[in-house]
Amino acid sequence: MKNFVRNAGFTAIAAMALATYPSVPALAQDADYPDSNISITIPTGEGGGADRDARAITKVWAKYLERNSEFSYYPGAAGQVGYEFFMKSKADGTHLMFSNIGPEVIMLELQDVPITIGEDLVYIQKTSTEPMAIWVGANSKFETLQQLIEEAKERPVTISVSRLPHPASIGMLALGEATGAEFNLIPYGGGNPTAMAAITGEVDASALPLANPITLGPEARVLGIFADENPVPDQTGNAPTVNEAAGTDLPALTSSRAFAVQASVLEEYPERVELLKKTIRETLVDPDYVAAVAAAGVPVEFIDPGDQEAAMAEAAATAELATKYRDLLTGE
Amino acid sequence: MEYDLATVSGLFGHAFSMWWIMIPAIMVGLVAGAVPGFAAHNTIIILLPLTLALNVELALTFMVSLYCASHLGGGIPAILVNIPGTGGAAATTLDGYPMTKNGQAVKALALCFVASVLGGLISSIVTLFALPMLSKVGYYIHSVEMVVVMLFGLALIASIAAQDMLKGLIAGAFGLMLGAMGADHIYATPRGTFGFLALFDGVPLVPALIGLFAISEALVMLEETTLVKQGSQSRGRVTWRESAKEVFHAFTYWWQIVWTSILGLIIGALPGAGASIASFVAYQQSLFFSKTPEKFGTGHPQGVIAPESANNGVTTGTLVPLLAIGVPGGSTAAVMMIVLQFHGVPFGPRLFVEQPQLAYGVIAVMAVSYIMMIPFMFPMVRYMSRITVISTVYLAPFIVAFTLVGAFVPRGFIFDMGVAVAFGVIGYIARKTGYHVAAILIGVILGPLIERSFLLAMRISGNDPMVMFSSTIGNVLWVMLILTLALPPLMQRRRAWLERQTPKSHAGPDA
Amino acid sequence: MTEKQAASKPVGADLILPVCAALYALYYVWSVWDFPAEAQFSGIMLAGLLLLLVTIYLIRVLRGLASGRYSMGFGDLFGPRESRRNRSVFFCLMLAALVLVPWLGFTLTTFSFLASSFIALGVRPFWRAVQIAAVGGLVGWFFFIFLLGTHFPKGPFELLVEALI
Repeated sequence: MKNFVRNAGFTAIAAMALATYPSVPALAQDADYPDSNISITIPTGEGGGADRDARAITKVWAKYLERNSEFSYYPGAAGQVGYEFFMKSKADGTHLMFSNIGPEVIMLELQDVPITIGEDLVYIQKTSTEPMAIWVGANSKFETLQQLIEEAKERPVTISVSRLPHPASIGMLALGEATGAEFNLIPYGGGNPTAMAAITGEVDASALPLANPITLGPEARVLGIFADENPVPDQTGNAPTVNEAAGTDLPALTSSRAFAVQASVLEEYPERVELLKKTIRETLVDPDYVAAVAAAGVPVEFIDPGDQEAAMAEAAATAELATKYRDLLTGE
Repeated sequence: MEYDLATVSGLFGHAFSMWWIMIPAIMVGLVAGAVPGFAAHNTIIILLPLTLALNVELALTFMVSLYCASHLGGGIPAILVNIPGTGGAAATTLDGYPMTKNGQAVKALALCFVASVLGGLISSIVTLFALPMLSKVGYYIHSVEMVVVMLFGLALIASIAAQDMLKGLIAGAFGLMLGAMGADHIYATPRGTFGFLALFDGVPLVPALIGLFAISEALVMLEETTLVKQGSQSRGRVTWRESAKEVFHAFTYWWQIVWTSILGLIIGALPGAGASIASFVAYQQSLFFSKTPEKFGTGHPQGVIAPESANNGVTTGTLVPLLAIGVPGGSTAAVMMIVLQFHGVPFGPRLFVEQPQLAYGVIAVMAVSYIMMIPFMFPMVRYMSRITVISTVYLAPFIVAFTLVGAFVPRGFIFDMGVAVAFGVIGYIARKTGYHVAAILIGVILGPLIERSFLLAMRISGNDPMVMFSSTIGNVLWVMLILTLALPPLMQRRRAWLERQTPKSHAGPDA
Repeated sequence: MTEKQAASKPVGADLILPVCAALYALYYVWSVWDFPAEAQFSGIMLAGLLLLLVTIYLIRVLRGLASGRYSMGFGDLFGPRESRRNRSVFFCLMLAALVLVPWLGFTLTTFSFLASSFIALGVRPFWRAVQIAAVGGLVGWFFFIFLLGTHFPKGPFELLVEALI
């Protein structure tokens, strides 16, 4: 090992390196924030709806934040893995989570996850909101929601869903309860395989956020929307709301995508959070962003600049729903 | 789209004109495929800033060429150092590495390249003309049929465990048990994870593969000074003439390449089935149809051809659901979809209506990528085999250092490097005590996939086990599976009987 | 050593894997005990299959031991005696690299692991081992960190380079 240590050049480099090591974080000052790329945790897989939406927004956001974004994907245990790893990341406003409030709050509520919304993690800014929808593949024999419900009174009708802890799943269970129809929910673990099951006819129908069938174009036929009114009649063949079609009185079921930070960031770096919120809102009204959303095939009507209060209110409402349907969703 | 000579030559001509982006993509793909941990989809994600900056046609061309080349690259370390670069190349180790050990590394590499290139080329041309038919495959093969398809792959455990069936089955069942780790598919409750969050999504495949093959191989190889026993390697240096000879000789297996690549294409076209399933099934079927099944596992050329042409057949297949239906069938296609969406290009049937040039162009680019890989074959065959004469005291530390990196890359967890070492220990013990590491890996890879399809099928049927025999295609597959399992022992008995009858007869030539 | 002992096949090491597998199967079953049936089904089936196979194997081993065909030795598990020390040091270095990588970062860990392994495995002279390790570390850094920008833990070297560029 003598040669190793005596190598003067190496020693010098090592010394310099050690000298730099602790000083780098100290250099970071708030005027420079963000002084590095923003790390974005996506608690689902690459190539999914969250990935699509996150890329559309960060492309334009970079203009306002003057920083690019780097993505990490943590699918697993319905998003639990992503949430828990996010909580372990640096809490200084350089790490954000791009969440899908609906399914993820339900997951946090139903699974044994040591994270409390509000106390540990805060949704600071919504980016989009979309209602849940029931739809079938283009070759399906079902033309209307009424037909589907009638058949489901005769036999259990199979419905592909992304996962059981999901607003769309709750919607189907609630619809079944209200009409006496039996829906057998089949969780495919992700929007893409869920959609594929409906298109290829493995299941009778599918329940997913509305953007999914819309981006599928002519391959999908929307039968009903869990909302008070159809926000995008042109792009859904004028599909009725579930309540109109089934004569029920179900609450609107939506899910919002939103950015979240660890709760401690709000306390320790409030000005950073403000900067994040402000730049996100600027992005959401930027014509480039609107064009990017439209280009991805997602209706621009879904863009929703809801603030922290609105996002947290949605989370609370979703948590309440989850508690109500707990038994059906956990198989207990 | 009407196919006339002008249209087809136009498509190919246009694809060739993008050679300048295809060649770097092929080079990146070859390296990514060969380095365990880097597969096409994560390399494409890493390079997304680049692809998103290109126009959509160039971006797609870049991704598609990289993807095809990565499937070829995966076989290289599988053959030379017994380390599959990707899960799809795991079956290649079964005969590729024994060939290297026998001093036939050059031949094995030539077989791997020719099978990959020809297999990929054939399947992309078939796709170009049969896309509408292929896109229907997904409408007939649902969860029930998928279970049986994957059981074909699982049957390989029994085939490779022929030496000591009980030990082979224990290894396979252990792999399946490890594969059952992680959150269940229905309720997302974590099972058998020792409380480690990083295992909630199941055993991470790449670290498991790296541990079982690379780390354990590094530990075992240090028992000798070089990989290839002195004297068994014909010469240290390989001439151009020799490499060319081996490459041309590999074409004599053209028939096997044709059918295994089409098998790969069909499996690839199924949503959710990928290169590893295709290569296991192709290897298993080749063994079944071979006139010399006993040679498999000892360095048999057919054992290299089958998985390699199948996993390159998958490349075009995997694009079929995305192109024809608009839903990606696998992770690489999902990432490609993001790029299409980012550029505002519609996909699925609308792509064919609105931008047919792009839709058919992608498939033509695949074919052309494979054609462009041909010149790469000769130097690779010539120079790459030299790695086997490097002393193991250098090779082993390099393998460990860089494959541990590979274990880290897919998910970015230091924990996964630990998983790789743990599987390294399992792999080492398995190798030293006569359990097949490939049998463990097949279990780890196929276990969770089979469980998912099985649970989906059961849930759809309302938990009626008879659903497994409810479809015509499924039942045909079941019969074939049973034949596949039952015939070889019967044939063997018959052959032994025949040999006793006519002691002078001898085995026929290789197919 | 009697002739009979010399001819018997050592199977002690062969038992490691089945025993570990059986233990994991039992742990798995325990871990899913309170879960819904769909989450349990495949695991419990597999555990049953695995335990059955392992039991058959144990019976085979016990019969072999009884008849003297098998012995409980560890056989060739650790490989040739003369290189055992080197190889076990190499394995320990591997573990050390895992522990150190969060602090040293990718490049320095790779370099130190390579250099110390080469030396442990008998590469001489020392400078040669260090040189090759340095080239390996730098090429790795260039490819994985500089070109591909993967998120390895940063250590002194990476931070220094970042500060310089």
